[in-house]
Amino acid sequence: MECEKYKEFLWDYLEGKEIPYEVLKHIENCNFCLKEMEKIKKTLEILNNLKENLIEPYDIKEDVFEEIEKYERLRKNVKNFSLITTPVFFIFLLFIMFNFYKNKKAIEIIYPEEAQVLIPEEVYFTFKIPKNKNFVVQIDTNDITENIEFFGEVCFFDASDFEMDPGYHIFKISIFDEKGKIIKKVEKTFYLTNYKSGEYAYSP
Amino acid sequence: MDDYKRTKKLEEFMNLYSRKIFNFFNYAIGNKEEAKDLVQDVFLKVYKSLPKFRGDSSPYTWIYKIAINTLRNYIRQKKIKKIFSLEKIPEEIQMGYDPPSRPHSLLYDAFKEMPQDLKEVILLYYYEEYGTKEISEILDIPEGTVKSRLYRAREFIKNYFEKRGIYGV
Repeated sequence: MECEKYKEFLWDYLEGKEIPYEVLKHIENCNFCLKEMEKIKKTLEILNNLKENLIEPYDIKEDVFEEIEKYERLRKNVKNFSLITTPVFFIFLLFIMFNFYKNKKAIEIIYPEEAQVLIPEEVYFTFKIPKNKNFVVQIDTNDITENIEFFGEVCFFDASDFEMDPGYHIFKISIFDEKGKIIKKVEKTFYLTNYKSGEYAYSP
Repeated sequence: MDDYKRTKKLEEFMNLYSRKIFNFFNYAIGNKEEAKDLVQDVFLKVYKSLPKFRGDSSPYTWIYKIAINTLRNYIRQKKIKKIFSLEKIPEEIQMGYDPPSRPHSLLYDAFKEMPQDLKEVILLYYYEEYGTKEISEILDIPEGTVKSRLYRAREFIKNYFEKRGIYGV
């Protein structure tokens, strides 16, 4: 239907806007569009009166200023709070970092110097660890995994207790703190030449 | 901007626009009490962002952007609350308009049923008397979209009235 195309222009026309001549010509000669225009006219009357039906509001200023006061008070409190908490937080962070570093630094694994180890001279791992702290050291070779709890300044771990066969062995050493968090992890290869009992003769 | 100037500016804006925005909200949501709260929200936001306002757009357009966003948030929250049935809206609050004469009360009813995007446009156009270009700025949509929404909103009202026999037989 042709009128459908022009429907939008009817509103513009009644609001005093310019519309194409072709549309104007159609409207003047179309009963349907003229009827539509009557309806639009009434609708516009109501819409244009929107402003005249305003409700006189209460004075909001007082309430807004009250809200602003609350907001400013809260903002100041947060500011003061962060003035105190920020340095505390940084000190705490430094403390944590320092401790972490200290823990990391303090644990030293002193390996047997030689890569080739003669048994019964045995494989000793010497751990230098901080005082009054508990650590679990896990020694993992292909043959055996052992957890040993250490407490004290310097501890020794005798690998020869495990009665391992002669040959190359990779020792994976992991050190955990009390909470089970891993602190240090290293790998070291040793060539074991002899069994503890002396059953095997050294042959490189 | 110092505190004194900021407060003075806010007061000036409230004198100029609070009444208009209040009525805009009342038309849009049909609840006087909640419209009041929303107007307060708007001016608190205006106060907070006043130091950042550079005057790139007119204060009126700027405040209306804030008002539209506040309204949209309110409607979103209302919808969520409705979905989770946290809040049952009592009938008398839903109908809490100041009922004006019949065609106007019908217009209020039409607004209640009109989709939000159309309502925003038609209120900004007829109530705030903004041009389509300004509305496109406020709503951040192309002017063409404003025009098509405006047309759909007008037709919505016309059809609403027609169904209720306001144009006679």
